[in-house]
Amino acid sequence: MKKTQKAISLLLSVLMAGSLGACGTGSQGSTSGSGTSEAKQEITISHYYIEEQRNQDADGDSFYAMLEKYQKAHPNVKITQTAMDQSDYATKIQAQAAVGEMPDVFLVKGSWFNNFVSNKLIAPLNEILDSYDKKDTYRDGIFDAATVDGKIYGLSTQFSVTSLVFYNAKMWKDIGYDKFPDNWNDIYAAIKKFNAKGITPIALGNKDKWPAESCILSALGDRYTGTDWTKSIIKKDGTAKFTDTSFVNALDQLQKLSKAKAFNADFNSIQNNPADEYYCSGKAATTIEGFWEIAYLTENATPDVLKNTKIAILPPVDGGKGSADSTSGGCGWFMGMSNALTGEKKKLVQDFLLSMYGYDYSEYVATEHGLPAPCNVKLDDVSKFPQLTQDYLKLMETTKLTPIYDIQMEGSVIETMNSGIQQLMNGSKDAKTVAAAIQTEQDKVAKKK
Amino acid sequence: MQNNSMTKPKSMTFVLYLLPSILLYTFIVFVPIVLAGYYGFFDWSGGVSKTFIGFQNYLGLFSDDEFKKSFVNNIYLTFLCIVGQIGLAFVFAAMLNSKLIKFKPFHRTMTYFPSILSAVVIGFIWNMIYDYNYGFLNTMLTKLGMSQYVQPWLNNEKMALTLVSIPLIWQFVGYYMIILMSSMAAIDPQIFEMAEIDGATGWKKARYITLPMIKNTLIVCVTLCIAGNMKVFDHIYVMTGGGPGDATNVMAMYAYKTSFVSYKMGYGSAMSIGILILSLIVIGSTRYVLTRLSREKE
Amino acid sequence: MENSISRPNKIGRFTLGFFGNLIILFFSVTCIFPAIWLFYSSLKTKAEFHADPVGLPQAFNFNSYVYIMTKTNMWIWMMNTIRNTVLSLVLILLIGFIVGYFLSRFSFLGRKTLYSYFLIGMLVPIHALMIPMYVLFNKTGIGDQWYTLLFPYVAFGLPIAVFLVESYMHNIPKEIEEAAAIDGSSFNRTLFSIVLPMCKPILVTVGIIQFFSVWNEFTFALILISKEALKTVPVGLTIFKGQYATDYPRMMTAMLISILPAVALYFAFSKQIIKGMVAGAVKG
Repeated sequence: MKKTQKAISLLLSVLMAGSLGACGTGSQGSTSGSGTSEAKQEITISHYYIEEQRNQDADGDSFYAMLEKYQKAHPNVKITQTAMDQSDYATKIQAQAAVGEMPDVFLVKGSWFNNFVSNKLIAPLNEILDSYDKKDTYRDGIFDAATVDGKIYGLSTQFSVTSLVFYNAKMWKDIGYDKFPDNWNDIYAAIKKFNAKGITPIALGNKDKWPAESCILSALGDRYTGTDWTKSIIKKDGTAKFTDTSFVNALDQLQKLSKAKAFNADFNSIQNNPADEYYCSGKAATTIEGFWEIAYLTENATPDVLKNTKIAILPPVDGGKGSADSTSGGCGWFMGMSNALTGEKKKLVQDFLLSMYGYDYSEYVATEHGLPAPCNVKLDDVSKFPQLTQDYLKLMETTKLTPIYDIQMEGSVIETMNSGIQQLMNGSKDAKTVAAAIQTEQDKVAKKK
Repeated sequence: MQNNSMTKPKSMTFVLYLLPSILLYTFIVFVPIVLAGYYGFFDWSGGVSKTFIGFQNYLGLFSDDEFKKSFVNNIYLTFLCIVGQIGLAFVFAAMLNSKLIKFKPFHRTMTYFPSILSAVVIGFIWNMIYDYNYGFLNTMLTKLGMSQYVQPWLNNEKMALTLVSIPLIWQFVGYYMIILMSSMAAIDPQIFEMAEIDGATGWKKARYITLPMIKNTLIVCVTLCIAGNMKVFDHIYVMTGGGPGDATNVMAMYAYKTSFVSYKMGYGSAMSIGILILSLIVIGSTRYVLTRLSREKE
Repeated sequence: MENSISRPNKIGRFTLGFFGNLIILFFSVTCIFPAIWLFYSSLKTKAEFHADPVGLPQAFNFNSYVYIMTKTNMWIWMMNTIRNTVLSLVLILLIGFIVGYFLSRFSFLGRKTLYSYFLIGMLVPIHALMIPMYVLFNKTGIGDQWYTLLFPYVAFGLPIAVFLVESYMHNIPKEIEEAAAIDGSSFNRTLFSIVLPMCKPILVTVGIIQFFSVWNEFTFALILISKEALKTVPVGLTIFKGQYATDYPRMMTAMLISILPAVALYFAFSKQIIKGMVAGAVKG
């Protein structure tokens, strides 16, 4: 009996502690002010920048830097953030969109804009952009994915290049290549040589389904189809089809690579970062990833691997319609503003948005991280940056960008494509079957519009 | 069940006690189902505007190969889990009820332990077991000289679903074992003694005494097992995300992706209703068959 | 009883017992080993883990613990999780007991329908119902409050509670309540001071099952809660799974911390918990 009483009292005390904790934390949120009687203004913002990962994430670090700067200049504005992992963020914001209650400011993926605009969830930003004195500094085409019917609905948060070949120059030299090959025959020959030495030719982690499509196929596909094809698919005008020979050939190439054992055997069951470990630790000779990999490698690769890492783009293909000096890139994520705001609050949020993602942001990204940013920033001296960063900047001077598939095409089409690619690379379906499945989904979407 | 005028409270008491619970339950569980049923009639890509399209979404379920495939996957998982979870649980429970097994409290505590862990933890642990380079499985195979079997396990579309079922089975064996043990404990020990005198061995005892005596509990376990597996989501989400391709796609995963990745929320809602109805059908028919079977035997 | 075994069977029984013990011991060990592995891996450095994920750590490295306890809002998440769990449990047990009792003891119009109605909750695929759920909470204004999560936790905890209590009540003789009524005990008094204590074993069972499912719950907590001050442990920990997360020891530490209170409770009370489970589990 005594034991029971003890347990009950323990239970009660825990309960009390719990509810007290609630009161404590509940009030904590609103006491961070300066104590003046002036009514505080509040801005709510939702994003996927996790503060703990700031040192590996150039975008996230720049976001927090700008936020800190704004907070310093506007101590009376309370910024309430909701931050979570990217996939959880996508789920949550879709739920909010379903009831039409958005946070004041939120991140929007390129492929969401049509939907958000037609539901009047997001406000056009032309008003603030047109009167912005540094509007001309934004790169050409950086707002493409955020433009609906000629109006811009989000400020670019990145200059993203999703397909870059990071290769270990020393390992490639060891098998007889001074630089990354400029033709596929050499690549297939190299794959054989690497495999014979027990080295993984290319590290890939495709469990989450997007890396093979976003980082390889987006660029490889363009080599075959040319950019006009992609644009037609994005517009859903019916001219271009996934069943076109050029696209099927691209899929075929991907399957051939996989069959030739170009990738680590577990490519479909690990995520991209564990796969990068193969490269970081010198077990793989190459990895094909986006620009974010630069920060990641700098933080995680062994000094020896980092020193030997060089950057290239995929080689051209025979009879391809795409240009050889291009790779997939552009802005994938934008910061948008709720359409529900009016009057004073709207003015405040507009101002906030511009202070966050105006020229200053780009300047920070460029000068702190040495990365190309949404705005063109002239860097006089790049020598203070790591060699890898300098190489990247140099490569980007001569490289044109083509659309990133998963940023611009419809979500359901991409979902079908991504699943199909896993099967394609496993060898359980052939290129034609996969292409036909993607086209079926595209037809469904096109019919609706 | 017969009414007893002495203890039966006034109808007002009934209302006072039951109504709040019914209201709460209706509000949180039933209203969303009705809402989902309603959204199922719309072409809705998220956001506030929807277009009424009648039964199109619901009819679409019948011709959706991916939905059929995921339903088949659910059935396959359910089958494996019934055999694995309840089968193993029955064997272990019978063993723990016999006098041959030592350290019974220890085993009971340990086997139930995985049931208290979250799917995230379970998924993470098993991903490490199946891992190509570091995984226990491949390490063991190599050490045992069977390195020809070493492979990236979850890459294998033919095996992935079976491999994903193993953590599910492993996690809940203890849960069903405890339920079955309590049911077995209720069997009069004299029956076993008599059987032993008649020369019945362990296996025969289990087959001809224990099994019939606890059949109702078994049916309950099977029902719980089906209910759990028809809506399974978390474990698969963590381990494979439905891949490779659609090899481990299950209905709840497909509905979730339809709503949140493909932004077809009307169709996703219709699908959730479909899942509910299919679960009811599967449970209903299984119970029917099981009850019939157990009656025929007597 | 051992005496009744005939001699020729003894060797057979011994081998059976030996292998039986071996098999079940093996299974028990696999059940606990992952938790142990989680624990000692959390003490490794990142490099150590990559070099050998299964091996023991060379030195105890508490960095991950210090980081999580000081650099994150772990304490707040923990408090929220404890509050949600305890309050939900109290409500589930109370409501589950009342509904289960009424459904098993009295026959009234719609009794069977009501019983099935409560059981359907076990089949609801909540991941597919998140949108309607969010709409409901948002439109009624009960989203993102300290009490928000109690609603789904209690409502979705009810089916199993009602189911178990209802079937357990069949084992309790009605005569006890009748005797109490003759002694002049009111209905309320009988219900709470006589029937409730008799249901203790099954309520323990319900409590155990629900404790761990509420403690670990992720989906509702993600969708229905936005305020940082209200986040629970499972949702809070997603900051370790972001796209740049490869620090396995830190991730494992986070997981371990998240399950630690539950695990500690489980092993501290394992005897009572299992006893409760065995006593309370369905008797067909």
